[in-house]
Amino acid sequence: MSAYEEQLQACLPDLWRYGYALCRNRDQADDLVQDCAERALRKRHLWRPTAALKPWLMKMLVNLYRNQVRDQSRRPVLVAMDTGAREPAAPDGLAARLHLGDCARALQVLPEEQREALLLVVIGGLSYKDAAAALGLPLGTLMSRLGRARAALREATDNVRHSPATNQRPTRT
Amino acid sequence: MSAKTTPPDRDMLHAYVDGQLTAGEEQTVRIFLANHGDVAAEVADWQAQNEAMRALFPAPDHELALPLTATTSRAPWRAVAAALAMLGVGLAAGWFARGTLGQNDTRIVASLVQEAVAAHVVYASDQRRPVEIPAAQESQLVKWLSKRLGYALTVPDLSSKGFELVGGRLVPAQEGPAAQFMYQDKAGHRITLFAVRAQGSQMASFSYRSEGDAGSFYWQDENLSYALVGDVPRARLLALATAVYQQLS
Repeated sequence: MSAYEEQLQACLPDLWRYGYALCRNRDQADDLVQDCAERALRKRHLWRPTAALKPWLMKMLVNLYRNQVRDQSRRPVLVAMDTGAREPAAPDGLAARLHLGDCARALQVLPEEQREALLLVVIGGLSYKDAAAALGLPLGTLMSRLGRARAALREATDNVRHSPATNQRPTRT
Repeated sequence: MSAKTTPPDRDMLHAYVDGQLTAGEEQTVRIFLANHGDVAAEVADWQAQNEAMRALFPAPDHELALPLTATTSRAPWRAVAAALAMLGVGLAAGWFARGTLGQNDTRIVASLVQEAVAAHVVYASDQRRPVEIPAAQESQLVKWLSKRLGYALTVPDLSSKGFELVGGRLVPAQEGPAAQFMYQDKAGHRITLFAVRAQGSQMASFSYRSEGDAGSFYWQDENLSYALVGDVPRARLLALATAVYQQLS
């Protein structure tokens, strides 16, 4: 295995995690990572060895994800959302799980651009500078998306926490 | 330094939450937060959000394999794409060197996969007589098929992966007689291992393809080519194919 392939291999778990956070589906995350790795191998000559590999890969993954979303919106398909299907590593009990559920729902209704930015930093583990480069944004734009995303999440989870009838949670049928 | 007297800006608070500050900067933020309860509450919420996200989207619980090379000529694969739509396919033999498949080699592989898939579709769905010789007569099965293929076969043991040998049969292939071993798990999923003598010794290559639900990979040496076919999730098939490869190499 070449040094390039070793680096690529080392990035796969983070790529998968970000892919999973974006599409909330394990099989789709598998496919995204495979497509991304395949593309990275085909385009290895385009990569400058002086640059970090991970931001470049994340950029590819986001583009693949966006293409997928665009294709799906043209031709709708039913996809199982498996968030919550497995027990997440909840620290303790019901309250924590409710909070995770609220957080998952709030993430889902975030504008796509904010969700991509927030998850790239928190789950993808990129520095602000790398995340901005991967998303093709000026640093200031990335920071303002991060700020708006966190404010929106805070408001969404706050509303639930302080709603007068906490056991009648708003559900869509 | 002036850092202690300047209140941290919003970007710095975010960077604090995301662990992107130097130790000195972190200290500055910590002191500021100790004196500003409202900001501290907001920052604590952000930290809780990060924790929730990490819990919601944990690291993968399965191994992620690297596709070793991307095929350059794809046309033959399109022909079998329809057959692959419902099935994952892995083709395996020994692998000792890597190269790029030429057009002819790719055709050979494509036809091998097609034959393996066709044989799988016909026999795996057969409830009454899926195999010619059952697993109970394994030694007889192996002896017979080895004789017909002209090469000493071994049957991989996939029980550690939840699949038990059902039995096997001889199937015709373009390259000559082929052996098909069938395995089944507790849920009734069937996978088949298709083995045929490799043509020539020129192919020492590895390639990977993924097409929709189906992932496929194959590698060959001068003796045998193996195809593993089954409508099980790709990650599981990959693990099975890896086990086959490890036992046969």
